[in-house]
Amino acid sequence: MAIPRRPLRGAFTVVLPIIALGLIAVVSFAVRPSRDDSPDITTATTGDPVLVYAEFGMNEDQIYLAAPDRLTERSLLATVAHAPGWGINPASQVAGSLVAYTVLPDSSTPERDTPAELWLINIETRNKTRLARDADLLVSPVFVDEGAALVYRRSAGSQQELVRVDLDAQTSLAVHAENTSFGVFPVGVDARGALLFARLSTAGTDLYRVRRGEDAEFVFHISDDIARDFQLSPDGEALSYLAPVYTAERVAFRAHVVAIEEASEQPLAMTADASGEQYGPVWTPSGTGVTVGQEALARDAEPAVVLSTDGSSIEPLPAPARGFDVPLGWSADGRFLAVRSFDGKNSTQPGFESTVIIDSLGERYQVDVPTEVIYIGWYSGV
Amino acid sequence: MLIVASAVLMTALLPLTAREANACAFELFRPHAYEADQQRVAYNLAFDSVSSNRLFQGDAFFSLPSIERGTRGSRATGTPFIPAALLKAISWVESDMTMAQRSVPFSSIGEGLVSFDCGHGLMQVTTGMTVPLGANGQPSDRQALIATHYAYNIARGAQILAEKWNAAPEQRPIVGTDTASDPALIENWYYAVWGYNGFTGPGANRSNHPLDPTLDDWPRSAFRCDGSQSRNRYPYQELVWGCMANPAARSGVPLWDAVAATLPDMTDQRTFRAMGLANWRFPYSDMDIETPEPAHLAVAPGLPSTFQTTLLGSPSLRSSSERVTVRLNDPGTSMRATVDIVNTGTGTLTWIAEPSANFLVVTPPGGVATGSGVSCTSAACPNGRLTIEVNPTLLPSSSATGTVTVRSPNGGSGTVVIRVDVIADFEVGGPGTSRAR
Repeated sequence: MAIPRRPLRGAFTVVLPIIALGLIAVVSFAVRPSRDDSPDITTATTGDPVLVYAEFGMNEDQIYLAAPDRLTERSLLATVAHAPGWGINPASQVAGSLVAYTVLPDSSTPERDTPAELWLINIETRNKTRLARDADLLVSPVFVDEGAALVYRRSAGSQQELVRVDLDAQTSLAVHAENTSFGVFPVGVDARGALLFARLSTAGTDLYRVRRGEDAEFVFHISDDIARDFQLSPDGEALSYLAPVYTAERVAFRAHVVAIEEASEQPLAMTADASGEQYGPVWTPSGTGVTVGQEALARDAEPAVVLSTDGSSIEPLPAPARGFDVPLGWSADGRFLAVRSFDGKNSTQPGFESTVIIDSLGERYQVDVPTEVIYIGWYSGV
Repeated sequence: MLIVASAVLMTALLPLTAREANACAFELFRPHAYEADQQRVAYNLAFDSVSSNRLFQGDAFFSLPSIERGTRGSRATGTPFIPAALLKAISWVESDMTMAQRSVPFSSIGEGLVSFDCGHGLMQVTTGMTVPLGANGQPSDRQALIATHYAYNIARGAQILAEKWNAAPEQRPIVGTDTASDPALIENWYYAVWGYNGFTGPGANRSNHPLDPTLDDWPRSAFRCDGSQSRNRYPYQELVWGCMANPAARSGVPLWDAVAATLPDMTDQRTFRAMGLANWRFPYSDMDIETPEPAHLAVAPGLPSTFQTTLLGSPSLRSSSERVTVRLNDPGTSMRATVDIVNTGTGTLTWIAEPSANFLVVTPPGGVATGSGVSCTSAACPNGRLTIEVNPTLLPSSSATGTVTVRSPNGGSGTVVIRVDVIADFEVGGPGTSRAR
């Protein structure tokens, strides 16, 4: 709640070059192990993929595990109380058995800039650990180093920091800090072990990388405008994202893939509608393609498609009866894709939204809950 | 025993002191406010009358300012007017359109809604409410009215929104380059509503930029304002637009008339470019956009002839007692005294209590009392209940006298002075110490 009433701080002077910090802060984690009494996840023991999602509630979210083709058979992993109206913001994927999210604690001011807590849940042990209390709620934390560490963002006024938390050593390290009127967003660790982050400025969106104790280094210019939905390829060699493309009188977000070292764009196979909106690029588990949604402007329904990154093929997925799909993430075995499915036409008229699982046989399974579904990722079991 | 009693009293006071140490207009304790009917009939009447400046017209502080209109090169002052639907939706986003804490029943009196950052009441007014602005470290009359009386709270919230609108074009962009930025078109308030929660740009942790990558899901379905969606995904102005279009209902009756206002079309090149990163620089003059279509024209709502009487009435201050005694040596006697603050007039009376000495603690420090014609049905009605407690560690001697002065910003010029006699049958040493006989 509350009101504007806070003037922007300072003028719009972006302070560069960026300060790479070596301030290692050994944090005493506020560890709060706890266990739920919900039943074991039988599906997890088979090695089959398990969907992890949260069902939003006004005052608390419930995190569930469910078999993707038997979604009603779900088990409660955790209940997360939060400030009224503000749900959890999970990391973009599950790392092994680890789930991470930011959340405004229920006793905090329900404002988007209230310092959020960063939590970790181990699906196997159900232990919960609070890693930080100064995270930016809306910036999704990112698992790096195969789940050995997390990177999150924190802010103090116009100062923003990307903080790496090593989960085993229980230490945190501010790996990048800068004073900005815009923002930086962690993306992941590339194939050479550097942390990649996207950075907004009046010049547009750029990709930077930083290594511990070094200054941040410009990698390539992503867009003159706001780009979004950054995702690293499974091998860490390429970046996918959405960036706006101007066509006639319209502007549409389109998917792009860029090889990071060469800073060279990889031409994706062109769909029939070469200027239409694309949504939610996510890598296939093999890393040979990017799955994108597309607007349903010309037809009642438009499927998501897998675009090979060598530009050679387009593979449509089962379409919704009406509307379009926005990919969220593939299960590790490539059998299931989670999507947000809209019954409208595009970003201007999206219509009603639901979360659906598409399987390799063409079936679609809807996550049937009365409130918003917060996709967390896939757990591959033990 | 008295030491124990003192300890008990101090223990009772300390947690509140610590909890509320973030000094808002009323520093230590929240004031009490009147929560009107659940159907929000009274609130809606206030929104309607404030939106067209008919409730506080002529009031030097609470009247709605002129609303500028015209394009960047031809801006001129105009009639004070804000679409009422906007105010109602903002209030729902801010407070679920409530004036008091959730524990307070409707048509009742109870602890006012004050957020951790000093947002007060229906409109969560923060501006001017973060520190006491009256004499002697007390809240000012205006602060008391905003904190306790819904009509004044709504008026102040409307003023703040008007200030955001009028900040254009000198400090903010305008919407409606093709419609002379007519304030009667709801869509033209997009930037002003954005500013109500902070005109913050992409990437900031408080960002309300519609294209911000931190708003995770693109595209996103409209905010339905029904409690089924997290606010994380939406900039503030989309929350307000969503609530305008999807009014909450009580007993099956919508609390306001739905208005499906149009958001700026982000697939339109001119709009998209206007909100681009290169334009995000003060005074944002390249962010001007046309009115999103279809636009919705708001008209001044019709009001019953009695609206001023209903909303403001003619309150009059009185107290149930003007002399009380607090004994600290008698276990059979309460160490506190209570006085009812009575409104012998009509409408809702706001009152503020100010003790003359530091050993007197008044709770609540301000509140309301309802008069005839105001629906107040709980046990807490219709009077305000002022509790006067004594902090024995600050007593200057074993017997002392102080006063509590109660005044009302809207209940006439008179004040009520309550004499408080304190009798403490124990020795008093230096300040901060006491010893039982």
